[in-house]
Amino acid sequence: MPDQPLAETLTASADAFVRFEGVSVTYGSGTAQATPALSPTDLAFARGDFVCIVGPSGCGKTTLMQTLAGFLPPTGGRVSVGGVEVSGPGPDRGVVFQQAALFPWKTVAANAGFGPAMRGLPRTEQKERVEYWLRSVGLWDFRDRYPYQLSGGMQQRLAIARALANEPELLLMDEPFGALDALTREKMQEELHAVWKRRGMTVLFITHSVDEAVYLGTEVVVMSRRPGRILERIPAPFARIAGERDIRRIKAGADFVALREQVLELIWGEGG
Amino acid sequence: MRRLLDRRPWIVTLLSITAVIAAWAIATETGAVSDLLLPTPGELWSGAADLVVNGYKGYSLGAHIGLSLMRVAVGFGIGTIIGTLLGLLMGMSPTIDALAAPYIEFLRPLPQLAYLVLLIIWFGIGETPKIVLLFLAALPVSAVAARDGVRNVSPQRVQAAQSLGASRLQIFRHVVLPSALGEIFIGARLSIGIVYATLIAAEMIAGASGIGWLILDAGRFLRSDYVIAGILLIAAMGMGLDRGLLLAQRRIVHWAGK
Repeated sequence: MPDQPLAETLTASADAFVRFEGVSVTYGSGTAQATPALSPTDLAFARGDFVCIVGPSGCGKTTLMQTLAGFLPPTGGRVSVGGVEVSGPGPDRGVVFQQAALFPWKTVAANAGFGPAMRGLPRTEQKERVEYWLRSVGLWDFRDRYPYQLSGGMQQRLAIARALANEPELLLMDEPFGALDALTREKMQEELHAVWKRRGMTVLFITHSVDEAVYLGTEVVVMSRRPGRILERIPAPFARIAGERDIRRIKAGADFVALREQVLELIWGEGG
Repeated sequence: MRRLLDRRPWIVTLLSITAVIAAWAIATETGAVSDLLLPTPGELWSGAADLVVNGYKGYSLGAHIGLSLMRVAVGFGIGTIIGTLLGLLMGMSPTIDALAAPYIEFLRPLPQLAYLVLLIIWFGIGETPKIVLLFLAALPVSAVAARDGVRNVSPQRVQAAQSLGASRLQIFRHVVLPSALGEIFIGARLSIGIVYATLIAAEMIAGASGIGWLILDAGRFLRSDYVIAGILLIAAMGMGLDRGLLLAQRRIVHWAGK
């Protein structure tokens, strides 16, 4: 296990931004149907990291993210952000779901400005943020439309803009591109990288696509089958060079393919 | 026929209506059916014109229509507003649901006319018992619709709002309420159908005005022309009420089904 020391150092280090300590989740705990979803898990990462979690479906990766979002209290252990224990959802942690979960009764602009409006920011600042983020995701011209008038890819871009307009320190993404076609998906991966480089927020990104995880993350966390536990943490170099080189050229490169196969083997080895 | 149906369905509808009117004209003009039972088209027309010009028993036709619509508007309006508010509270709070559910579940399947007798004993035969009756007809339907609307709100949208920093009150106002609006409107359309049918029956049982009373009273004098004109009017008003609500629904809940 060559990467075990890395995990341990980070977990122990004081500058870890996000920290899971022995976090476990059992659905229906205390009943006869108690189903363990997540084995006690330790994971920590630093500010500015782009952490991708991959694993087979039902491996508890979404469960892990939900404890960080504050939607699901862990059965055991604790989750903290910046040293403060998570006790519920909050605007410091933006969330993007697989289904965009937009508000169809609000215009594109009102969706993007939802967070700042609810938090009562000054109107001029609300307007500035809406314009900035809608321009960033290429939806400024659609600001007066409604979400149902947008394509799937545009809806997902709006969901990202809505989360980012709050300028959260942490962005949690649960298979955000899972429902998109391959072409749109790669475009979105590039755009997400561009935003991450510009703003430098910390990202936790859940996916079942190994290709996506290896391309996007500064680190790939591989999880086992249910009840999920972390199999291995692998640093990935491509997030740092993305934007300088074309996405197709990165993904066709020998070093990319080698790392992708390494992760795939881990997942397959687990399954077989 | 197949091709005609695909391209111009309204022509087929028109043909269907024309055929029925023609059969009616032939049956009555030839004397095969007595005009005491069924007036000829011409007699119906002049009977309807007479109602429009002279009104019926002290009230103009407009006054009869207006009185009926006023009863619907007040009973349905208050019943739907209070029912919706109650349903929203029931959807949000299991305690309020447990408190109110037995009465709602008792009232909902109960035919309204069953308790009209009691309302007449309590309130006499004026406007009050009719409006209370319509209020009670609208209330449970809209309460159940609003409650289910609140319960069916997408948990992910609520989570999204929470993680964007919305408070509980803001989530209710900006997520739960608009999300329940679709079901509230479906309930309102169901409810106006029930309210309207109840109104016509109530006017027949206890009343001296309104469009329902008009056809019952005209029937006593075998004025089948007035009765049929009245029935056509009741049908048109019913369609108008439903279409009005449908139009409002499409405007307000414009995102539904998209």
